[in-house]
Amino acid sequence: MTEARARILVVDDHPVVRKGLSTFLSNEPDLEVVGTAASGEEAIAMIGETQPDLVLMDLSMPGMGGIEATRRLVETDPSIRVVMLTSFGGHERMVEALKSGAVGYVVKDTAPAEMLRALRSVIQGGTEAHMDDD
Amino acid sequence: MPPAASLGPVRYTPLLVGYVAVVTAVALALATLLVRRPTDVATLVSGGTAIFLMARFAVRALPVQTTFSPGVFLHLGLSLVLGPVGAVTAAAAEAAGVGLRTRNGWFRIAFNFSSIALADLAAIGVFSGLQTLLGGGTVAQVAAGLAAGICQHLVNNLLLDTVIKIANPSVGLLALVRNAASLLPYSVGYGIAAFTFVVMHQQAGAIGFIGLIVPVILLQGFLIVFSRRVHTYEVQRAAHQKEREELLQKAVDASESERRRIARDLHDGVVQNLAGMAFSLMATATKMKHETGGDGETDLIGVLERSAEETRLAMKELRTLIIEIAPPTLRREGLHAALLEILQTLKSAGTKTRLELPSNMRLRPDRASLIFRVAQEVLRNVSAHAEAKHVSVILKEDGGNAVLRIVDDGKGFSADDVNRRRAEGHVGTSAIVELAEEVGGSLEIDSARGKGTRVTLVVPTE
Repeated sequence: MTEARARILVVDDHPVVRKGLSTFLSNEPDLEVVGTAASGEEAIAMIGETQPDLVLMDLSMPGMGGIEATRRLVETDPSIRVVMLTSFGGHERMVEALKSGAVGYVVKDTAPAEMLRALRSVIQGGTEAHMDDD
Repeated sequence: MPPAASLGPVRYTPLLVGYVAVVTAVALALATLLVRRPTDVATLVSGGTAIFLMARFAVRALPVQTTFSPGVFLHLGLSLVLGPVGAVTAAAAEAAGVGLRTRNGWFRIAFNFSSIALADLAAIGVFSGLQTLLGGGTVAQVAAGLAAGICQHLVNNLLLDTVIKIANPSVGLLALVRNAASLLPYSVGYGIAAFTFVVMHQQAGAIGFIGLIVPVILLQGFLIVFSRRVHTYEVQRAAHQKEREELLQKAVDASESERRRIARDLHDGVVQNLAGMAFSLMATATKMKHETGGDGETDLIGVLERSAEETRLAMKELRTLIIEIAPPTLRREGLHAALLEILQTLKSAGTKTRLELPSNMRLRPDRASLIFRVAQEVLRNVSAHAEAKHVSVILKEDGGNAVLRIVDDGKGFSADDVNRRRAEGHVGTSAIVELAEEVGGSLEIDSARGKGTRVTLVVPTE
């Protein structure tokens, strides 16, 4: 019997990142990218349709940023698991992200294997903050 | 020149009002009793006018509170030449001139008139008494003039210091005495000069008196023009200095804003593209591996994997560069978070770190930026060369200064090491010293081989 794949929604305003990240995650047998959104507003609109287990959310986006989008998503559905994705580290922003309801915080240049490990850990119910270098 | 600063309101206490009332009443009573029709109206008018003008247009030196007028010399002369009518005219002219110049109000004008009139009347008494006692002759008259000058000084200062002490009891008696003593030599000179007025007036009447006034008036006129020119120069110099500081600040702001723009462009463009490419390359390599079962195209898969890794590292390097040129944490989250972030590198390398900042410290953004840049440069050196086990970063406020101390127990360095590194083109430390000195601060580096390093930055908070 095949175990159900974890459903992931990728939210990032940069098309190259969306495309690269979705392709990268789709290669993993236990992960499935069920949709991509270019903004926080679009992600909120897509939640009902995509029913993701995990939202990979860019922190800094035009319009509604990742923090506000996460806050609204978690308010609507407290069981939703959001991992904040960012280009920069920073203790304060990590705390802010976790306060908004995110359960993970990953810097974009984290090594691929480490990022996959962090995502799987979150899917299984853990909390991850990966800010440091390799 | 700007008008003289007003002396502020008088705090009328019963003691002060009573004292001034008594002094004024005594002065007015003596004036009424002693003043007679002037024997020489021309001398009286010319002397009174000169005294009024000299008091009204006193030489104002910088700072503007400092004023100078040799009025005492004139009203002592007028008093000794014409007697009580001269003393009362001189006192009225001096009090009116000072009143118009300082806008000090009728209360102060009344007191000034009274104290000067009493001092000059006392001087006349001493002068006449000594002349009678010592007889005629030049030496006797010079001695009488000198004694009159001293008497005028003592009476005037006694009355004046008493009113100051009553109005402001916190003023020290010693300071008042010291001030009065410092002016005594002038009064001695004025007393001798006043005798000259008497002699000249005896010889040539009003013309002799006016002849003595003219050089003094000319000298005061020259000093007034001179002090105004100095003042204009100072005003222009201050305006130029302000303009220069504003231009410098604009240049600093422009540079800061340009750095932020470059950092933002890099972050929003190149960094994101590199991130996307790294994921895509890794995805392609993984896909090829799956499709070939891990056996075929191993060279190509290796190239893709290495490219993905290189792209990721390039992104990481660029991210470090962006943080250096425009630290996002400092701008968004403040100095504490920014310092914590740069200490993170040392922490992850196994160094024990300590950071202390006062929670209520108020710093201008450019000062926070300077403190951050100094800490960044120093900690980069610690990370690269010191091999320290412990590093502490402590920021404190001391008076109007922010004091940053960064202490490590690493291997330290000697003066030779510093010179060698400078010869190799490493100018980071010199740059932060210059940055600190530009804002009126200082940066001291204390180190010796094997003894760690202590860096102390002191910068004004405002």
